[in-house]
Amino acid sequence: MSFLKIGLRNLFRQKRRTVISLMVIIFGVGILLLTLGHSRYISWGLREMTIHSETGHLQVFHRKFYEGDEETFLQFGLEDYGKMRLEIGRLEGVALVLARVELMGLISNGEKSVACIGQAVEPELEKQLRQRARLSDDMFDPFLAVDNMEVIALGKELASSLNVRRGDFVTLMVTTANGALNAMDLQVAGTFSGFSPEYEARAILMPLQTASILLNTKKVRNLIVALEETSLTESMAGRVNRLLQEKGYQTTVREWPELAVYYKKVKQFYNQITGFLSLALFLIILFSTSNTIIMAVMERTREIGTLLSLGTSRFQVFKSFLFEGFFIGLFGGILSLLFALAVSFFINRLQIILPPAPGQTSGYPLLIRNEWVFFAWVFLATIIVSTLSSFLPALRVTRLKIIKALSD
Amino acid sequence: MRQNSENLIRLQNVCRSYRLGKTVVPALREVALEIGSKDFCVIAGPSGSGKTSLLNLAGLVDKPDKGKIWWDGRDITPCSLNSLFRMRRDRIGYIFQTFNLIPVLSVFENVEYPLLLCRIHRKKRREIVDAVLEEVGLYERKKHKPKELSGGERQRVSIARAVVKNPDVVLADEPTANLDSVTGKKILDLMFSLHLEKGIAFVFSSHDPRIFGMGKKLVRLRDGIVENIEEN
Repeated sequence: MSFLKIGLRNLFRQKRRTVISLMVIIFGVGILLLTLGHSRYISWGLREMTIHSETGHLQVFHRKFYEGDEETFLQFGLEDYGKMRLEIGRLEGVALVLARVELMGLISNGEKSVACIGQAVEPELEKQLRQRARLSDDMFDPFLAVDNMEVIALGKELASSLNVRRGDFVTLMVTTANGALNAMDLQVAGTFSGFSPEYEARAILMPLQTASILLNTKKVRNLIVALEETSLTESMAGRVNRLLQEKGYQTTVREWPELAVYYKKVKQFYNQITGFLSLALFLIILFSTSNTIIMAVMERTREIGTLLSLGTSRFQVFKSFLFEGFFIGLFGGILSLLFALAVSFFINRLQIILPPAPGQTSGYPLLIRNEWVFFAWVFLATIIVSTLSSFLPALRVTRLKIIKALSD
Repeated sequence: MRQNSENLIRLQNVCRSYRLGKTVVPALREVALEIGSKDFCVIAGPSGSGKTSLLNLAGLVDKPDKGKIWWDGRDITPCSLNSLFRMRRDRIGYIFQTFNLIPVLSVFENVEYPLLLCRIHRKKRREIVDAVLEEVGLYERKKHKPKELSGGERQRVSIARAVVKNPDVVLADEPTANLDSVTGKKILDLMFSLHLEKGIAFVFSSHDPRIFGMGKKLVRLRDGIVENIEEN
């Protein structure tokens, strides 16, 4: 027999009350874990989407691109990118190297002109990049389906605004690398969806090869490097940087977290929500467990008096109530983890699609990503909060007068 | 745990009063009493005469308003009750009128509890507890919970719990008040046999005149004052 054992037995003395306390913890912590799991899924999903559709893991720019404004378009672009791409591609851990140029101009159907922004890309490689994260890759199919490279894809809203569809012709006018105006008639190869209607109303995509003719330059803005593993980002950034320095290129290497502004904001937003939710739920647990222990102290006042008169120190009695709080946290924590695992298993199997978020064009799946690190932290926090919640009621024990407790 | 001393406890002109609302009720007035290490002493008196207050002071669970309490020749009045827990743990056994057994513990565990406090090794604890349960006739019921026992059996567990650590003195507050007269007599006989066998001093209170004669020493209390002390 030990005080731990006595604490454990006392816990189940008032079964109903203990069960209610445990239920509060199970549902509270369980819901917190599910919310954290969903937010982790969103963050993870957005991270992978950002990397495999926008930023890549690394981007290589001309060193001066981040140091000052360009006087002419692509002044600080990468000139000899083909050779550079080969050098980087040989490094172990590198999966793909892509080139891109950003575009800005006016697009017209002959009757109406609309300002547009977009990118000139290498469709085959972009498709491969997206496939690495199992993202939908059909937006590049229009380019790959035609032999003619003088094509363009438009955001759905933009195509609708210009009233054009596949096979129609549009004129794209841009400023060339040497500052002149140039225009080209391009055949609409298809349309694509974006993350928001505003984006879709301005966005264009075209093959890099065609853009080079239109912009009258062989330069590209940057090289996008996709790695075999996201966890390699930091080490590979160093290796790529060293390689390019050794070869004498005037370049700078940026890692995806610096470039993924939207991802960072979303992550911060979810962190704030889950942080607030955690605080609220742990406060509920604190009060609920505290109430259970207060009731136990009140009911067992005479017993406490007996224990004290038998020579139990006040600290030992205090400790036995702390153990009760600890056990509520321990059992509550274990059951919460099981609850969260079971519910997340069913939710993930159901493949529920949530309606689009404000400003978005498509819904997103309700999926839970369970991470053991979170489970461990939440489990630990549950035990700590529950033990702490018994601290004040247990402290009351240390102030009880023995004769008053005995006559209770 | 036992320390031999002729005069184990000495109460020197102790006073104790309690506040009931705005009224101060004196429970003990200038009580002087000596309890020896071989005593089997009855504190007799009607309800409200101060028997429980006297036992509380002697048992170091309460402090006097005035006067001094000596234990083994040491004035323990200035000590706080918290600091006296070791004395309560090692040297005093308690028997309560309402038994006050710990409901979540079995008979064995209730009796074992004081030894746990004294940090006695598990194997040794088991031996001592089994022997004491044998003595009080409850060995066969050692796995039972208190609620499964009769009043007399519960009080025997309470006695076993009080004597298991071989204390200097066992203080019993009306140990037979909740029992019928036959069971009460058996309980007192058990206490007396343990007193003889183990040499533990027993001090118990009662308002029942039929058992006043059972003590070697009879202390009569009335209105918080010691009326007289008779030695048998």
